[in-house]
Amino acid sequence: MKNPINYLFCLIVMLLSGSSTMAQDTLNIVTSAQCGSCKKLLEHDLRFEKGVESVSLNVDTKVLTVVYNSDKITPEKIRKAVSDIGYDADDIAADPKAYSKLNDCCKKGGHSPEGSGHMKN
Amino acid sequence: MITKSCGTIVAIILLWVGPVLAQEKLRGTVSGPEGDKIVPLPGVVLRWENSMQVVLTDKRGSFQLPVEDSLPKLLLISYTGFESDTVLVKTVSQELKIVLGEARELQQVEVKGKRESTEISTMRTLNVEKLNEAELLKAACCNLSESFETNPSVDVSYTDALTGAKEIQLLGLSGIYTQILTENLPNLRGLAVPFGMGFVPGPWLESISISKGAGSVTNGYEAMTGQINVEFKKPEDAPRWFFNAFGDTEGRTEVNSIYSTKLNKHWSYMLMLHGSGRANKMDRNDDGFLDQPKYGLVNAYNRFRYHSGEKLEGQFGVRLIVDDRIGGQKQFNEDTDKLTTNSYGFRVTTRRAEIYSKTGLIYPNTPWKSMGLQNSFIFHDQEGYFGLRTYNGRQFSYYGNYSYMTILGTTDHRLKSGVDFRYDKFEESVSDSAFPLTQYGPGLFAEYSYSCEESPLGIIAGIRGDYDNLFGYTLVPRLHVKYNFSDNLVVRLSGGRGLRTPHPYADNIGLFVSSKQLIMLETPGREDAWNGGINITTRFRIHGREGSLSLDAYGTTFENQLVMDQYSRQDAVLYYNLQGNSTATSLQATLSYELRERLFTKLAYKVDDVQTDYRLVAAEAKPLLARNKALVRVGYVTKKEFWRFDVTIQWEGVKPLPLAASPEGLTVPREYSDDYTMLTAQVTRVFKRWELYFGGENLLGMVQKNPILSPENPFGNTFDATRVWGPINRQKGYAGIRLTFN
Repeated sequence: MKNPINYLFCLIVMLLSGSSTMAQDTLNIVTSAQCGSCKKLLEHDLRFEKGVESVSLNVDTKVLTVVYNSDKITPEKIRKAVSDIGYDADDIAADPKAYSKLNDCCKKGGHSPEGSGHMKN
Repeated sequence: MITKSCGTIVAIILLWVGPVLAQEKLRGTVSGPEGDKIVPLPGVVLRWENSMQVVLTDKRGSFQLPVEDSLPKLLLISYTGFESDTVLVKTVSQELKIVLGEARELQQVEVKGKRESTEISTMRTLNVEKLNEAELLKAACCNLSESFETNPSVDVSYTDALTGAKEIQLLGLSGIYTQILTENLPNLRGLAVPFGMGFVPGPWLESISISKGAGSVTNGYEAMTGQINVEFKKPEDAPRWFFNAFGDTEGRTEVNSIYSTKLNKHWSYMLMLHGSGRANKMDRNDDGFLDQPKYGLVNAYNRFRYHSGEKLEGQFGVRLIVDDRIGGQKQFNEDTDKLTTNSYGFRVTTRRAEIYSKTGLIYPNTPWKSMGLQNSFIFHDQEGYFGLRTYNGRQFSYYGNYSYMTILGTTDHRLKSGVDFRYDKFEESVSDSAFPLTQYGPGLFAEYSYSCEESPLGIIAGIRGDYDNLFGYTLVPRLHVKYNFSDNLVVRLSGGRGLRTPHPYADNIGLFVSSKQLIMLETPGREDAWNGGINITTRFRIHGREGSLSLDAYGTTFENQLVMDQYSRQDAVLYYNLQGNSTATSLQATLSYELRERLFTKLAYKVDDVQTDYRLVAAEAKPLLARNKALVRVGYVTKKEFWRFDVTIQWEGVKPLPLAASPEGLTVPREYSDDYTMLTAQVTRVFKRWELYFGGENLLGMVQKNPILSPENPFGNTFDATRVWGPINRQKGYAGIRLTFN
């Protein structure tokens, strides 16, 4: 082992210098997301759509913000992808099969009210 | 790095002056640019200034917002990708048309979100550091003790060079003074102290909360230096199936499987399974002893959750653990060598069952009232030997807790009160001597808390009274106060008392692997300590990226302590009740900052000053504890989070060493260890349904040269495997995979 720190440092510097800028569009979609669990699922899965640069769901407003490359994906395709994960995307209803597989807490209105504090504290 | 300046919303507001008569609701629409067109915006958030009521625009961009009191008033408009804006509304007689302006590049600011995986809150009254799942995935984290290895607050070290048992330390004091809770139930007490943290698999965990200073009184009178609460993954929001496999270059393999399902409308179920082991014998430092014991661990946890829908919720769980570990000299053969001087070996076999239930009741019409009942039963059976010593133990523990929560006047003032009962029956034996102990007693507790969104002040004041069959009545008060000088600066104070019954053998199992005698000079009393501390946390934003600085100063003073004296005699470890003073002071500074976009850094420095009056030496520093420690962590996530890189560098300063085992006299000057640096690194590649991770530990390869004294003569009077101050193992590589199926 000669000097692993040097190697790691080089690696990090290489990664940092690789970041580039390109023309991006932003799309806001009203979804049927319910909770933090939905946030995790939507943000994780949507990132793997080609052309999607970043995804962020605001659980309070249910608005999903997607930054995407318009050369590679269209807003329609993004909404379709959201529907395929199991959530409504603006006018597009959730894919029923995907919806049925969601956890209960992620189903519409299925999010139970705050449990008694005894379970949490 | 590009620093994006925030543009502003150009809001075109069309307001008509209408009749003075105020109507109930403000109606309007919000639109904004999408591509080249102006389109209605759904999901725009609107609220009145100084009001918490929020409305959203619908798919056509329209909204209705009730008017609470007199106009004119400021209307706040916020929308992801745009800077928040305000509009002065004078009347509600006409529809309000809001057009948000071009927001070029603004989205960059919003979508960053919070990715800091160690949450340090400025809102909570308690000084809690929460390690969430993202944090736990940054290192191999095979089990609970290992998940602290890259954390600056909790130190992890081997108790000795043979058994593989790991001990944690918080605020400079042994982990025995920290209360470990699994989902808020006391756990890993008594006989589970030496190996128990290894029985909690890392991949099962959802989060770990480390709370420094006196803990909550609602969980008992223990928790002198802090509380560590472990939350397992929950059946209702876990993926259908999670699978993890792990292997390292020292022959350790692990598999974990977590299956969850919904049984019916009310019940959900989760089955967690863990199997791990090490089958090969490895002696890389050529001292004739295995560097790590061979072991096998099987762990199964069935958990059920019940939700009636509105009133009742419950949880039931059964966890079964079997652990068997064997080590010692390479040539040790249990059939011929056990408890003989043919060769040195040790074996510890543990069987443990944990059963618990939790039920909570809320009153649907008065949701601020609730009650809870918790029951936990623990059966622990352990047998083993270390060279010529045998050590067997059996423990049965029950803990029951009923509590009632209500508010006093308003929801700002809350009161949680209740009763609990604990029962512990121990049967321990060391070689021919037996140490039975039965301890039980009820307790009463009440905890008042004040918190109010508008007030910078937060208070938690608790008191509990206990009766104990051995120690009589005790009163344990604890107080936590926080004050927010601003949204970004909080000061927290805490103080309180903690009590604990020592179990000298289980608490220090590592001391068995030495030729030193273990001499109990008197009957151990109950340990009793006061802890007080202050925490200052400030959050800041430089170049648009968040950071935080946290300063901790905590002190613990023992009224009574079972002193483990490794300084007074070379041929023995003496145990006796504290005569004089024993104090621990811990200072820590932690700086976190996102140095570049998605490049997270953390720097921490800690000073632990722990002094005890021993028989022959007064105010002597605790053996094997470094006074100074530093930690640097760097984590980088690629833009789409497909790759994660984490590097941790830890430095530990010199540590005073206990006397080396010897039959000679006492005139030995104090010896000190070297300081050392450890480097850990991990790379994770995230795919849609699976993750691959690989990494290395102790990459600099610094090791303690001779962790075992006189390894060639393990039955002689200079044999000692307890003087471990640094890493025993050289560079270690590992790789693992995680699969998720929804």
